[in-house]
Amino acid sequence: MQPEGDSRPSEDESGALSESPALSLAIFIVGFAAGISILVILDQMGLMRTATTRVLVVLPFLVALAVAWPARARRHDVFLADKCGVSAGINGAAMAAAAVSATLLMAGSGAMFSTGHDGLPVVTGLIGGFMLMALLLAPYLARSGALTIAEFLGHRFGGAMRTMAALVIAALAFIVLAVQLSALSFLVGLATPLSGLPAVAAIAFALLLCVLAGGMRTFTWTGAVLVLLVVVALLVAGGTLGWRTSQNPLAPLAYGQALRDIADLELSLIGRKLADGASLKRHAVAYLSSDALNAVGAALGFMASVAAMPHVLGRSFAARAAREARASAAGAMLLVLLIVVTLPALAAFGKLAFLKLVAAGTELDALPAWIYEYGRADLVKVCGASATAADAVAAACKSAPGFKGLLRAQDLAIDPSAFLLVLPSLAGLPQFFSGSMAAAVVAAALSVTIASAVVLSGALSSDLAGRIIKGDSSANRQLVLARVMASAAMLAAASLVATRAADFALLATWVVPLAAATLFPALVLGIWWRRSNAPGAIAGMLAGGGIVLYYLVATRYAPVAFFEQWFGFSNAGMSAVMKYQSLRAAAEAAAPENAAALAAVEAQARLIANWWGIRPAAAGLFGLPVGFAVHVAVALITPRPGSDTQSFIDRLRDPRRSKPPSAS
Amino acid sequence: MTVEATGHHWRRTRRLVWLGLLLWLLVVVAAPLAVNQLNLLRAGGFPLGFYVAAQGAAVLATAVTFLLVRRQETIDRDGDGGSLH
Repeated sequence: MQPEGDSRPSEDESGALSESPALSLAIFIVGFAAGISILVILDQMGLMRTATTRVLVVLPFLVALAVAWPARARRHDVFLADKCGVSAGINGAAMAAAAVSATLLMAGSGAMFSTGHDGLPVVTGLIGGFMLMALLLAPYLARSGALTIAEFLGHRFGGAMRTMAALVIAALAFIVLAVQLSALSFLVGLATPLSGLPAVAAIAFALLLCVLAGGMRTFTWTGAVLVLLVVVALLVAGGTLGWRTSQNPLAPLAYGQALRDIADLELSLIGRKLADGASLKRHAVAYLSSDALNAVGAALGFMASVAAMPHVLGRSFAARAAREARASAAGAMLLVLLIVVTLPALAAFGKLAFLKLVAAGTELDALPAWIYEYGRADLVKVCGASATAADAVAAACKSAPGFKGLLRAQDLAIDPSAFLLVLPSLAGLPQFFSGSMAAAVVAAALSVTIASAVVLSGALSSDLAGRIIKGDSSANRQLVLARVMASAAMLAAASLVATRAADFALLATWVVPLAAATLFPALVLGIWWRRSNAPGAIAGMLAGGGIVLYYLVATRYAPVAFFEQWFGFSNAGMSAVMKYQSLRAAAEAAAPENAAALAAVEAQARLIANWWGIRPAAAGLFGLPVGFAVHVAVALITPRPGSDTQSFIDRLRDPRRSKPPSAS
Repeated sequence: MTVEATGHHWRRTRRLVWLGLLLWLLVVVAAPLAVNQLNLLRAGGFPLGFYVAAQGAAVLATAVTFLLVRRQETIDRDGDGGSLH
């Protein structure tokens, strides 16, 4: 039951492993800086416009591959948790890299651009998550000596819990892996001639090489370099825009003037009938596209899921002591802070540029070229049609209600999840920035892909298959098994992405409340509540995860049944319910199995199938309380945990284990 | 004596964590909710409520976390037997 004491690498091995990545890192950073300066010069000379973008998008892959070989792992504990001594600073950077995904950068900034204030819960969500992690979880995981989250939960709650947690973690990690891989293939398809199956295959193969070489060890170094690339790219773009609007390169402090201009323009555009009050969500006004309940729910879900997400929290196992795990989480928080406080500034600068474009009274034949450039990739729509060419736009706008020749705010729709990519063109920044933004998103997606592939491999090999396959379980075999599982995971995710067999944007929303409700209560109570036991943990995980899963799936795929079942809990207004009932009556009166009528009923039901108006992203509002309450209630009516578990808890709480390695 | 020392150490740790959770609740959860009240005030050219949700709460929470982490290090050092002889 008790884990082995920390097995530490022999001096020379840890030396060889930690020196060479540092050296290759230094070489890489110098080469990187030189390459960037050459690109900037060429860009200024007007050469290589798309070549710049291509090089910048491929660059993060080269970083990952360059670090992979020097950071290869020879032991499975290094492969799964980088157990060979990494400094708290590097570990914190890797932790930040794991938390900053392409989804956060793209969907997060897009929500801030399109809904203003109501897109902000992601900021407090991420930061609050790291606060909870540093206070409640990370230091105690580092003291446990486990390699994976499931193994930790197994030490605390026994083998059944380890199996169940490993299944949950494998499912979550698989979703994260597939979502990030699909973001990567989208970006690579946008910037290079590669697309579709060849793009997915090439990306998955390159990343599999990185994962196979060193697993978590590779991620330490790729993550640490790539998250710096993300920070630099965002700060430079924000700084340039801040300098242009108010001579202040600190974007988070510089967009006050932009917010004021946005507010003035919003009013004047509505006055000039270039925007309509219903569809233009005023940027700084709260709760026009959301409400306080959903904002809190989304923020809490983010917090609990960031704190407990295996590929982020799992970095704690690389820390040698509780003190270093705390320092890692705090350091990660600082890097994430730089990123999340810059995003609202970028969103505001983008919104200002958008409103100015409309306020300038743009005629259809004077639309800027970037609208067509991104329109052809289906990311920008004018008058509801993809802006592929001037005549397509003219045709679509001719039939748009109330269109009088000038572009209105409601006519120009930028896909929110592509906002960050479009921003440089929208705000009139040099072409170089389009490439650097794409590179930042690629870097984020790439690190999270590697991290989640390692977590998935750990859950499948060390926590599931490794315990079933009896007999020789030497460390070497464990390492082989982990690599086999990583390959299988990558192959499965790549085929899912290549066949587009899933709605990745939807899955990206779902994984947050699911991770929060399943893992967070078990981890927190396992560490902080002695009385907590296996039946409680298992029941809590099933109940919390189950209610979230039911809510997400039923409101999406069976909205009619859900609404009929939970009619009394819906926040639907009288008119919405009456519309639903008349649609249903029409569908019943129509010929049996009238597809169009049934689809109309379902679409209307989807709008009102909810509990108290809570949206899927805020489903943690049920999942967390239910997860905690069921865990506590079941634990209280079942026997207290045995003495093995008590001494494991003592070990987690004993500060003397935070001493340097020589102590143990 | 070691059990007693660990018990004392754990009580101090627990107190600090409750304080941390209270600050977490106030700074990251409650403050951004007061957006409409805070928006009546302006700070550095920003509507304060928007600014708190976009930056203020995040910066404050990070600062608070660094302080709490430092405090916990002191508690751990004391619990390490150093000052209990």
